[in-house]
Amino acid sequence: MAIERMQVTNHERWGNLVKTWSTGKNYLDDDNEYPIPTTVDEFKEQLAKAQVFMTVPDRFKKVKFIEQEMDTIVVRLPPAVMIADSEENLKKPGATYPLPPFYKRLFNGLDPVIPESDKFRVHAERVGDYTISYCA
Amino acid sequence: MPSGYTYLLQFVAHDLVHSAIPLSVAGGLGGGTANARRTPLRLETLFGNGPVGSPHIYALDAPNDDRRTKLRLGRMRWKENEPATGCPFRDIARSAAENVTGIDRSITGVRVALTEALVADPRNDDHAVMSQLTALFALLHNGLVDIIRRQEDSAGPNARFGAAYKRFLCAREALTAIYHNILRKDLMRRVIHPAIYRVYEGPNPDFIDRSAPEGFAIGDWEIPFEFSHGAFRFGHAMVRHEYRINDLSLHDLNNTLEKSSANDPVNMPLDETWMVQWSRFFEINGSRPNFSRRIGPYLSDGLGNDQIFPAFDETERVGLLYRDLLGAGLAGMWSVDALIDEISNRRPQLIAMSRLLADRAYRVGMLREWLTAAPAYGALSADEIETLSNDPPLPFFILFEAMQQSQAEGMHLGPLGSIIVSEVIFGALACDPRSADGNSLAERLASISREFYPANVLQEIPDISSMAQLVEFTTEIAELQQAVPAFL
Repeated sequence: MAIERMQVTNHERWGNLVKTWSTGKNYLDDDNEYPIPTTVDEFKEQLAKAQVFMTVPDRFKKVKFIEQEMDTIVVRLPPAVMIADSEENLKKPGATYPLPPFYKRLFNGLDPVIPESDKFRVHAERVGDYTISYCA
Repeated sequence: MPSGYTYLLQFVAHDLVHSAIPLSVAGGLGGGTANARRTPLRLETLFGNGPVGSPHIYALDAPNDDRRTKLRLGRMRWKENEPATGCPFRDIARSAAENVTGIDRSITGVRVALTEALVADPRNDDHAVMSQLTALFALLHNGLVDIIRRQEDSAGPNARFGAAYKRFLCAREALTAIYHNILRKDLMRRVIHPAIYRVYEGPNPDFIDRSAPEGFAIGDWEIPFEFSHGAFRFGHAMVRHEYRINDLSLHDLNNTLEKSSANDPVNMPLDETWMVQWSRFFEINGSRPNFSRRIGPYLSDGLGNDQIFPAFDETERVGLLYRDLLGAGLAGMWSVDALIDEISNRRPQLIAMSRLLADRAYRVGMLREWLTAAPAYGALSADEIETLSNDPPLPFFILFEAMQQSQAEGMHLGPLGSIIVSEVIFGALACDPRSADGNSLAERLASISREFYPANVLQEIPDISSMAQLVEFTTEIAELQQAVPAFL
């Protein structure tokens, strides 16, 4: 049974919510308040207000925000079971590394095709990138 | 319930209601919101106005274009290659078009944008599963045309246009009879509460909402808002967050919703990852299909997609649920209480079977309890909970009622939802004397054939009373047994 992932519907709204939490300035262009949530319920409440429409699996009971500092290396290690689960999925016939839909817009509008021979390479590259990236 | 029924319900909705602009977007009742369907459930959504009235959706039968009988289909694409000769016709037909406005969505030198879906009803290209279901029905129609043609006397006096039109009409009527048989014996049996289904499934049900005992004349038929903007929205709750499309591919709902000529024209026609393997959408020979979500007051998050369902009013609310609830508010429907009272007056036994309907205090209490306890993000105030408990929006109550069904939570509609849906669907079927006569499908097909031919040209069609049987028969007559990706 594959592990259920968080799934974002409206990526731009999600990004703007993260920017709002990070800066304290409202990037959602609405009248709502978005203090950094301390519980999963508060997190979901803010997702609803910001109309992110994110699917949050029931297994999540806690939420942790990490404010990165410029002089500290933060390596966010994904759970080993998630890596194993992804690799298991990628081994299936026809499986490919799932790219968020906005990548297509950036690359000419064509559906991105990751060749069969490249899918584990792309997986490793993405894991590495997201583990240390400041994403800002 | 297998997920194929979610989209068969959408197809049925298109075959019952067609307006120029959704009520929620129009902001009020007016010319553009009127229902243009006057002959319900006669597959206008597939056939349009026929080869003469809607020629663009029909393929040419002859080089001089003096007759058209088959629905157009398009070749699928294999990976990033252009669709080549040899790729099977498994997508709906799509084409490019030059715009007088100068707008061109093609990628120069790379891919031509196929912005135009050549289908009778543009909503049948709302997303990938919908267009694949439309292609399935088109494949069956085209196969029926072949069956009829093989048995025709081609030396008859009307060997060209007249003979072709007769062939088209016979195939269309045959497909409509099969479709009606499936609606009656498969789809309705699955979605309607069993006790209500027993009331309506027979040849002459005692309709509540029918002033003339003999039914409506074609053209007089109208659809109640309580169905179109109330009860029949329940299908939206059945939509899954992802679908296993075939052996090769799993797609999430956002991808699925985006796959249409309007939204993604440079990635058209659909490629092999979108070719639906129908045993993954209906139970066929023990297959384990994608199952729909249980019916209840929850929708998949993908239906909040702000590209597919953008904000259109000052609230800036996005998503399908907002549209459903706003449309329900604008339509001016009967309240839940008023509907229950009226049905109780006319058919007390139908209301008495459900405590949720018969006992108002219990109903209000159940609604209040759920609204208070459920994680209603957006923080409902006590006043709002009280208002919603006492006067729930009809589409919400239908979902809530389905979720409350003892030992079948969300597996089918509750009694109120079932009565509203049955009145309309079985009522529309009753408008077609051939569907309402209680005869078997074989007898109906024989009767259709007699209208056009001296012999029964439809006798090789088996008794098709489920979507599984329809798919199996289509696989055979379209010769798709060895298709890659698998069709069945």
